Amino acid sequence: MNQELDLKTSLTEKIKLQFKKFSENGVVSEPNWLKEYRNLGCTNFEKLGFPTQSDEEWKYTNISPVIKSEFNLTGLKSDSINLSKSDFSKYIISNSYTFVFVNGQFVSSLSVVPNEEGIEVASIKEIIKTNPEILEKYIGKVIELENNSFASLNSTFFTDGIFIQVNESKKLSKPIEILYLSVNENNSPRITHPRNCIIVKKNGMLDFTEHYVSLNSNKNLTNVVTELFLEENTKCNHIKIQNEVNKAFHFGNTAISQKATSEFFTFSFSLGGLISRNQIILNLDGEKSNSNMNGLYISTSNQLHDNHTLINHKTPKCNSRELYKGILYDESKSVFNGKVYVHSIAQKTDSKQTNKNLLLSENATIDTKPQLEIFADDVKCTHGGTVGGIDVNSLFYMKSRGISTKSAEALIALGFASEVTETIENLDLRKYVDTLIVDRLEKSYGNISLPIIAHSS
Amino acid sequence: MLQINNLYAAVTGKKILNGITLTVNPGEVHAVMGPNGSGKSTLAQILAGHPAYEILDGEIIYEGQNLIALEAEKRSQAGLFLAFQYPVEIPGVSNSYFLKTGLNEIRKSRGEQPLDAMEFLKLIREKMKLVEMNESFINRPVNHGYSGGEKKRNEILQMAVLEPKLAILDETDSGLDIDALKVVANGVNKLRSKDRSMIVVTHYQRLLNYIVPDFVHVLMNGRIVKSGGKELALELEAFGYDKIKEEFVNGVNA
Ligand SMILES: Nc1ncnc2c1ncn2[C@@H]1O[C@H](COP(=O)(O)OP(=O)(O)OP(=O)(O)O)[C@@H](O)[C@H]1O
Ligand SMILES: [Mg+2]
Repeated sequence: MNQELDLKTSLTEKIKLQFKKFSENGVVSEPNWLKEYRNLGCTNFEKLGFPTQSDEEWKYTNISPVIKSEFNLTGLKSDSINLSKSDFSKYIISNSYTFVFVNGQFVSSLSVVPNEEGIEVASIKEIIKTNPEILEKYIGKVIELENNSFASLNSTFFTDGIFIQVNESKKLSKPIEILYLSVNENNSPRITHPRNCIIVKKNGMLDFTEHYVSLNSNKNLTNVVTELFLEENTKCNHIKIQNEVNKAFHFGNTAISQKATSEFFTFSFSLGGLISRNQIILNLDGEKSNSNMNGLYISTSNQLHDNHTLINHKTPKCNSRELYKGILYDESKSVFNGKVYVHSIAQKTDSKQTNKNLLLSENATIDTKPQLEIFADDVKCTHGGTVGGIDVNSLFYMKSRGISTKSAEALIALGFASEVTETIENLDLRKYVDTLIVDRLEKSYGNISLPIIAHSS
Repeated sequence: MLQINNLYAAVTGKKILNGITLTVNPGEVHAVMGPNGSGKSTLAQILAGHPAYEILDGEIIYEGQNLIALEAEKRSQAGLFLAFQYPVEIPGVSNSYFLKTGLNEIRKSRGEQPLDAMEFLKLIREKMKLVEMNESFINRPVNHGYSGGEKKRNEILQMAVLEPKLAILDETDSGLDIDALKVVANGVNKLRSKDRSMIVVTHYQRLLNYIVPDFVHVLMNGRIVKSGGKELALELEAFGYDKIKEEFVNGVNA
C-alpha cells in the first residue's frame, strides 16, 4: 500500500510538471473554457492516478505493464513522419471517406474528405482554432471524468481528433472511416490522446468507423475519447476496430447521448493490442430510442481484451439489445462487464443483453459479469451469458463429412463470430471485418483457406 | 466391405451393444429394424466414429482395415457416410462451404484435385435437383432453422455430393411426408450400385417398398436377434416385435 502511495505521489508530480510544459507549449491561445476543462482533467487525474486492481471496475485488468512503460503523458513529440498512401492502403475500407491520423495528428494530404452540403467535418485541432464556440457546446458534455483516469488524461492532453456535425435532416453519400495510424519510429513508447466529437442533428444520419492500426511493431498507447450526440429521430451506425500491434495498449472511452426516437448501432471489434479496454456508456436520454450494442473479441497469445459497457435507460419506452461474443486462445484473457441500468421513470424498457464465449484453450480465461439494475416496475429485461468449448456433436458432425478437426474448429469459430458480424449493415464494412477474422483464424489454424463468411438472411 | 464381429460397446458406463455380428458385402442393402432404444443409432454412430462410445470388445473391419482405429474424418475420407437421425445445426456456417470443405478434404486424401468454387456450385446444383431442394439452401447455415424434413433431405444431399461407398441411413424416413419419402428413396436408389453398400435403419416397412433391401435384421437389447430377407420386414409390420422377442427367448432357452 505504501509503495502504491509513493508511486502515486511521483505520478502526481510527473503529471503536474508535464501539464505545465504542455500548457506552455502552445495551448496558451486556447479559449478559457478549454483551459479550464484541461485543468479539470489534470486535477482529476492527480486525484485518481492510474487505476489498480483494488478498484472494483479494474479487478480483472492489471495495467501495471502500462504504468511501467513510463510514457511521456502529454503525447507531445516532434518527429516528422512521411507516409504515402501505399503504406496503409490495406486499412482503407472501400467506398468510404477516409480521415487519416498519424500518431494522433490529422494529415489532410493523406485523407479523402467529404465536400457535401450540410455536413461539417474537420479535425479537432482546426475546430479549436476556427470555431471553438461549437466545440464548447459538446466537449465533455456526455463523458464523465469523475472516476475515469484515462478520460481525465485524454481531457488534459488531447490535441486532435475528428469533429463531425451532420446538420438537420442531412446524410452523407458515403460512410466515414477515421483511420488512426501508429507509426512509432524510434523505440521510446509513445502515447496519443485522440478526441472525437460527433453530432447528428435532428433527422440526420451518419455511418462512421473508428479504425486503429499500427504500421510497425513498436510499443504505443492509444487513449481515445469519443463523444456522440444523437438528436431526435437520428440514425447512426458506429464501428470500432482495434487492430493495433501486439505490444500496444489501447484505452477507449465512448459516451453517447441518444434523444427521442433515435437509432444507434455500434459494433466494437477487439483484435489487436496487448492490453486493451473499451468502455462504452450509452445514455438513452429520449423516449422510444433504440440501441444495438454489439462486440466481438478474438484474443490470442497473452492478449487481454476488456469490454465494459453501461446502458443507461433514463427515459420510458426505449429498446436496447446487446450482444458481445468472444473467442479465446492460448493464454489470453478477456473481461466482459456489461451493466444495464433502468431508472425508475424508464417504464416499458425492453432490454436484452447476451455475452457468449468460445474458450479454445485450457489456459485462457474469461471473466464475464452481466448485470441488471432495475428501478422501474413495468419492464422487460433479460440477460445471460455462456462460456464453453467446441460442441462435441458439432465437431463430430463435421468430421463425419471428411473435415479435419482443425478445419472443423476453425469453421465453428467462424460461424460463432458471424452471428455478431452479421449485424453490420454496411456490406463493405462487414466484408472488411470478416476478412480480419478469417486472417486471424488462419493464423491460429494454419493454412486452411477459410471462406469469407456466407451470410444467412 | 464391412465386417462387424462380436461388438460390445458402452456409453457413459452403460452397456448398449451386446455382441453384434454383421457382414455387409459390396452392393448389398441391409435394413436394420428394432424397438426404440435397442441400440440402432448407437451402432450407426460407432461406425461413423463418435468419440463418446467406448468399444468394450469385438472388431470392425472396413475394406480390410481396422475401423475403430480411424478418426471420424478418416472414415469419411475412406468412403463411409452416416445420415444422422438428428442432424446437427451449425449456425453461421453455410451449407455449401461446409460441404465443399468436406468434399475437397476427401478428394485431397485420395490425391484428387480440389473442386474450385464454380465446379462445386455446378455439382451441388445438380445434386440439389436430384433431392428436389430449393437452391436457397446453398447459402443457408447448416441445418440451422430447417424443418425436420428439410434436415433429412439435406443429409441425402450431402450423401449425393460425397458419393460414399458405404452409406448408413439412420431413420432418414422419419419425419418425411410421402412425397419427400419418394424423393429421398429415389436419391438413395440413384446411388445404388454393385460396389456401393447401404445400411438402412428404419421403423417402417414403407421405406423398404422404395429401397428394397437384400437383408433385414432385427436389433433388440443391443443384439441382432433375427435376420432374414425383405419379407421379415412385412412380418414385423404385421406382428410387431413381441413375437420375435418370444421366439428369441425360447430359442435361447432351448
Ligand atoms: N450418449 C448417450 N448417453 C447416455 N445414454 C445413451 C447415449 N447414447 C445412447 N444412449 C442410450 O442407449 C440406448 C440405445 O440408444 P439408441 O439411440 O442407440 O437407440 P435406437 O435403437 O436408435 O432408438 P430409436 O429407435 O428411438 O432411435 C438408449 O437407452 C439410449 O438412452
Ligand atoms: Mg435411433
